[in-house]
Amino acid sequence: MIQPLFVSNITATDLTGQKRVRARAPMAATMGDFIGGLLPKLRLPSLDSSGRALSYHARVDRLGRHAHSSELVGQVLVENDRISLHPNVDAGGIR
Amino acid sequence: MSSPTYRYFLAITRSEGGLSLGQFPVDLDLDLAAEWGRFTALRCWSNPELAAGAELRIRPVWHATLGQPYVEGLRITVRAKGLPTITVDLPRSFFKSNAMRIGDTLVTQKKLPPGELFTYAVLARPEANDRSLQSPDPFEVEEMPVPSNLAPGSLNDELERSVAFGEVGPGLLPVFLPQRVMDEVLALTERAGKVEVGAVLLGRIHQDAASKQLFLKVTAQIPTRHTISESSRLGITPETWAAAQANLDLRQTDEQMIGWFHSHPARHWCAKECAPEAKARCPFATPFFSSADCQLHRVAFSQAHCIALLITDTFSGPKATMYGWDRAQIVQRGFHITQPDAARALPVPAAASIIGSNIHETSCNNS
Repeated sequence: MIQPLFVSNITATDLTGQKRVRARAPMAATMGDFIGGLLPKLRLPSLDSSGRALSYHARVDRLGRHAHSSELVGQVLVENDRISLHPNVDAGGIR
Repeated sequence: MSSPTYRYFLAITRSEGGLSLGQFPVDLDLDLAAEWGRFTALRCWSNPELAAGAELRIRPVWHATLGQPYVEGLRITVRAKGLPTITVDLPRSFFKSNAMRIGDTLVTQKKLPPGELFTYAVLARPEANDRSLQSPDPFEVEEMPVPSNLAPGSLNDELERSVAFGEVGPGLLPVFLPQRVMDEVLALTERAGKVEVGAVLLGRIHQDAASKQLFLKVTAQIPTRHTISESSRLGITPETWAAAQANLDLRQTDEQMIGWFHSHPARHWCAKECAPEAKARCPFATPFFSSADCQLHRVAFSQAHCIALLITDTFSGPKATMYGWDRAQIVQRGFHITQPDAARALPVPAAASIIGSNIHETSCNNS
């Protein structure tokens, strides 16, 4: 049986659901790399104001959990899955 | 966004002596400009589908006196078939945050003394945009425009049953916050005591049936969970957003996440035992939307209608300030409190607050 090389028709949104993209990802790609590829089209910043990388986690609706960035796309996602990108971000008064 | 594209630079000059410190390339947050352009188009066209999928261009506005390559702002042009072209300009202050970051870097590099003033000029040069040189996208990501879901409403009805809180600037989207929600966030702040606390704000964009004007109604707040609450830090985790979404799903309404609330326990920040007169002058009593707060708002709530509510817990009582987007920059803004309870005192609307700067990390000189 021929295995697919890609997972197709993944719908990804920001946390509000008001920004949405459709993507196809190589099964061998990591979820971290996939998230990095989604950020520009979702118009989400990849760096904070100090130039440090922002951290996002993909929540897979079907699984009801966030994927680890080191997991492979092929291990986590199937065709037509929906994911939401949830950032790890601080607010605060004084640093 | 279409070609040609431009590369932007800031020319930094010391105010004292006029010494040039060089030209520095900057990566502008043009996505914020795009958000503002589309939202302006939505307000003008009243057509969510066309506004979401409109063709958009962002170009420099050349300096009226100096000409190219000097820039005095950005011009956003939004086009859709059969509708009037929308043009909106972003002022030169759009570049200020980039200039401040460069200034911080120059101070770190000891090329600029701390606290010294500098000026900046904005320059733009056309950038080669050869698509053949771009790497193919391994993820084949395709943007899917999401039209705004406008709810029906009456702006006059909302105005009649509300009171203005703070200065509601001209041209900004009217925002209505129920007294009930204000009471809830004040209670959250009081219960949290010495640590920061937060909530996600739910609501909807409404369109007035007669005038087609848009306005935002906050309907509820969902206290944030799975956060790291400290005296001067509120850490929002991915689990926080997932819990908020689960809560929103349970409500089975058309509400959306339209902003957030958090508190600053300012009267707990100082360990000094100050006299009442000193407490009245406490520098922490001035509300401020920190650079971290701005960062969160950009990351989570970059859409032009999104808002942030801050309660600053001071010695003289809680102060409420609201922030939102105006021409792609975060500004303090007024709002309306719906169905106010005349028997209860509202928190004090702060006249002015500090936004986006770390200069509020001051030590208190009170005794």
